Amino acid sequence: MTDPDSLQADALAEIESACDENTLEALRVRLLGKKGVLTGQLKALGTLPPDERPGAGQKINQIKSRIQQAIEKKKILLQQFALDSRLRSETLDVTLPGRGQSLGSLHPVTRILTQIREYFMQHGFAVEEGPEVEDEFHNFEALNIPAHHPARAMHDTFYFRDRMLLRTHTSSVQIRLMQHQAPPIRVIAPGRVYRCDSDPTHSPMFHQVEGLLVDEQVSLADLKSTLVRFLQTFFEDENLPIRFRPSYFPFTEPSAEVDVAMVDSKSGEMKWLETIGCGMVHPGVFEKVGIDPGRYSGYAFGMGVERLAMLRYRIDDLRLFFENDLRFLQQFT
Amino acid sequence: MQVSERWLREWADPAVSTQQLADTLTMAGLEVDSTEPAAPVFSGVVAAKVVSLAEHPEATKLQVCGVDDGSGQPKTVVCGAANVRAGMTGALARVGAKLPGDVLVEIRTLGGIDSAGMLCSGAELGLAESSAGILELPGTCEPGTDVYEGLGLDDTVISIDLTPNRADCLSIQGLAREVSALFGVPLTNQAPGIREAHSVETIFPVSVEAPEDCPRYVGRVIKGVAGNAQAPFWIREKLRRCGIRSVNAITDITNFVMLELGQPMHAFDLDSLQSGIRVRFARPLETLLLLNGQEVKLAEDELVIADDQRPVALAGIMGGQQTAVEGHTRSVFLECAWFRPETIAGRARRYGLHTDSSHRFERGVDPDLARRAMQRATQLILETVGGDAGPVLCEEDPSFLPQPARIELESSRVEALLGVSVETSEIRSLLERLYCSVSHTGQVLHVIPPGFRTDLSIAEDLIEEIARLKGYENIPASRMDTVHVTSAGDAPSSASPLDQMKQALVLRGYNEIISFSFINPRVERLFNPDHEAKELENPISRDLSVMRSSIWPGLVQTARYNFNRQQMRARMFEQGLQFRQTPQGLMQLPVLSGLITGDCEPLQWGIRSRKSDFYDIKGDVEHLLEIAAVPRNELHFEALEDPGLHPGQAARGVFAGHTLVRLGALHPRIQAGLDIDQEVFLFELQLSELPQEAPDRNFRPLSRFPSIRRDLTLVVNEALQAAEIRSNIEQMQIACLQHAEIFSVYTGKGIPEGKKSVSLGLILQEFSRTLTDKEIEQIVTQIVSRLESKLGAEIRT
Repeated sequence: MTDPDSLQADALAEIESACDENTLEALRVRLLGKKGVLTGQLKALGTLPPDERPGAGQKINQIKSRIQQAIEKKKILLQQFALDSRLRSETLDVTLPGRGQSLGSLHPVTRILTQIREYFMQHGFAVEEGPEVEDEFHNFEALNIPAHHPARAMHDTFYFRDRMLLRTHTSSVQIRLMQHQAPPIRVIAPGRVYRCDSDPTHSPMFHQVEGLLVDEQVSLADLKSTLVRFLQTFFEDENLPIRFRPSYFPFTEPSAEVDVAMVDSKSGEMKWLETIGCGMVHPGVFEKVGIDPGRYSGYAFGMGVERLAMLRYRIDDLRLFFENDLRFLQQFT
Repeated sequence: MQVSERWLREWADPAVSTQQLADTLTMAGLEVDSTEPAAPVFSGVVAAKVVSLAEHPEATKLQVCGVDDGSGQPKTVVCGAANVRAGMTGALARVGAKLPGDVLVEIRTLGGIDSAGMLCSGAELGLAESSAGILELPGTCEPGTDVYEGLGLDDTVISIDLTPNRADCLSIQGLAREVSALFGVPLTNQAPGIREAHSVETIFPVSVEAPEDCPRYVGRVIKGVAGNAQAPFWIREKLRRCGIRSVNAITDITNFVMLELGQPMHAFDLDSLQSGIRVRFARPLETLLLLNGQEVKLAEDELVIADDQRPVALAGIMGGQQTAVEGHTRSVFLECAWFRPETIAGRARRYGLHTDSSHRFERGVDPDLARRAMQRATQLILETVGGDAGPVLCEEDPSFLPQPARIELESSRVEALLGVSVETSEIRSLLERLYCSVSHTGQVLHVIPPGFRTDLSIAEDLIEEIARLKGYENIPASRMDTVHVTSAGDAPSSASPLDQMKQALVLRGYNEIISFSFINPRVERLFNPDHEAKELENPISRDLSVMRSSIWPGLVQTARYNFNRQQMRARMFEQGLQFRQTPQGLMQLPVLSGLITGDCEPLQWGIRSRKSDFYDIKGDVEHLLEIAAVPRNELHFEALEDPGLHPGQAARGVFAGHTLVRLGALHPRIQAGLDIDQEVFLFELQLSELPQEAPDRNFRPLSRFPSIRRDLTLVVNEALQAAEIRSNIEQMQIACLQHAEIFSVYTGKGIPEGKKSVSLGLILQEFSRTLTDKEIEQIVTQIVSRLESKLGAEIRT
């Protein structure tokens, strides 16, 4: 039999010097396995005199247990070491950008339209759309604008040969709606509108949102409250200066323009800027769509979406909306 | 409408600043656009009388003037103007005067003679764009009078953007009435009464053949006037400040009366008129040479003023050149008429005209103004250029004149509409300030608006006037939502499938664009050669002249716009209408269209860069269709022939028997035609063809048993479409086959020419038990033999 002490010393030294788990495992098998050195030693106990056997057996078992512990300890160490080195080898440059598709964007007009739409939907308004190629009845006559009315000159209209036209406002949608729906009515009509006019401050196509509310006992004060709250919410300013000023639309009476005061980015001065045209629905319009003006009253309003977008995003050139330069659009992600 | 503030204040003069006046007008609905000085500031310029005139000894074009500038010291001034003459009063810029444009006047020596200042032209004082000679001041101007003060040049030009209903404010008189009502100040300069004295008996007969369209025609002859006379300075200056060019005395005076009172007038050269005036509609083939030199072919619905021979004026719009007041004119026939607005409206526009006269007649002139205006014009002509007036002729049929409205107004209606209560007595006094005649029985007011307020015809019109005078700012914003929520609107829109699809596109890198709905017809035809696009009658330009039948042209042109700005990678979409002419009429169909081109992903280190292709856009489309809940098994794609698309890379997705989506590569011919040198892929989704019913959202239970995957590789003809493989397998209706997905398609080495290999992954799973190996083998064998027999596939396992 080998001297147990030197056996232990050699084994521990070997364990200590094992540099990976495989070596360690091989060592464990050689020392502690079924055919291992220590198992052999225990088997060889029978060759000793009976009185030495317990002492020697105990000794071997002690050594066995020490070696086992040393192996376990070394194993944990080696695992830790292996993990550490794997982690080191897997370290990335976290400052490189991530992989994948870029984020696109919604057009600023859509963003503003969505804001307007959601505000009014939360206040009980439904959303209606209508045709863009319209007839004269819905675009003009039903709105108290007969042929040759001077107000037609304010709407430079695109015509087709069959006297159809491109709608000059989305008020036409309200006529279509009132022809088919009895009050109470609460609706907004967003959409494209067209005017035969093109210069740096006019686009031949732009977007409008018209609103209409018809019910019993609706007053100008109600209209004021609706629009004041909307503008304060839209511009996120509870103290936004707002003024209502008399104006004229053939389909409302009384009529008003709603101005908000804003700081002009160029001059730095406060300026009143037109945002919304509005008024109480003209009784003549009710008569044309078969609503009793004696029983019902209502208000209507209309706002230019590009104009609101320009104010909201401080865009100074209307043409940017329709050039669709990606460098412009990507600012609205 | 552009007016001189001083002139306005001659009529109504509230004790407020220009700014306050402008603000008050704006807040009363007469929106002031701008307030500008009537003249640039200058100083040191005085009225000076030319007392002597001598030729300059050295320069033939110059004259040496002795002038009296009121200082007591006669001055010598050298002047080069042709119109300088002894006895005239001019504007002398003394030495030291400061003229507009920072010009300092110094002693100048001209041909050896010192000039003690200069006689100024209107242009030099900033009173005219250009001047032919020096400015002549009224003889009543005392020498030495400061010209800036004396001419009242510390005046403001107020520009008002009048709404079309306020025709009554298209004059000083009308604005003054408004100022008087708003500030509660009196009208200090009433228009003159009617004193129709005449000094000669000459008349020129008038016959009105269209009394309904011209129910009042007032005319008179004035003899012995000089057509070339110039109107006095004060008249010309007032016209200038109101933006009207001076022509000759007679014309200037008719314009002056129009500005002052609001009545458009016309003066004819009497000697060029034949026999008598006829107010009638134009006859076929008649033409008229207008004052502006334009020759117009008249239409039969156009009212003209004619003599016995021919039309001499387009009624209410513009006179003719052949009967205009000219230098040789000795006698004039003055016209003051009332034309029905509907008869005038729109006629001027036909000829691209818009005159001060047509502007007023279209909107409505006070029918009672004609005689007063005639009197005022006569008075001014006689006073300033002399002459003898003939009797006033008035042809009229009052039954065709507008009758004053009689409006009943219940005072409770005011509160109902405005949301604020107004006392009956206050209503009455507000309306009376506007010259309405008001009486009342109980709570009902009987209101007759003045003739000039043609815009007041119903109770609501009066209520607006009440609100306007009280001030819109004094109407409270009310309680709205506590009272009027009677119906709830739709669900918030962000939940709508369209919004979700747009959001999905944004997440997939698409930028939303908005392009014009009208496009260039050539581009339209490239994409849709067999469609006759709806064409605008009056487009802005040819590039924007037909309604798009697809959004693709807009997307492709936008891509090109961006290529030209070095943006070579684009992913874009647009939502809008396409306009298609069909036998049933014009269809305005909502579509969602997209385009991708260039690199599939933005430039980055972690993905090998590759160009977008057909399957990239198809993947996006399939994603959209999933969002729109299009049932997969009811949708199939097939090859498509489309003039806009590459014939080998075009597909349509069919759902419920209709084309739901078209997609593919832009046709190389169009690509070349539009000068685009990279591939472009497009889709167009018909929103109206999306499923209208909500999809079945019921939960399907999950199998608790394992699924098994088996892969098959088939060698098939290269032309065989994937859909054939898929549909053959689907037709077998194998209940436990969960998926059959193609995961590889390969041609090349190892595969015979004209063939391709296709790898299929089959996922099998039973709901209630584990499939046995035997069952699986059986299923796979079935599939293999079907594909072998139906598609001639050769299986490599």
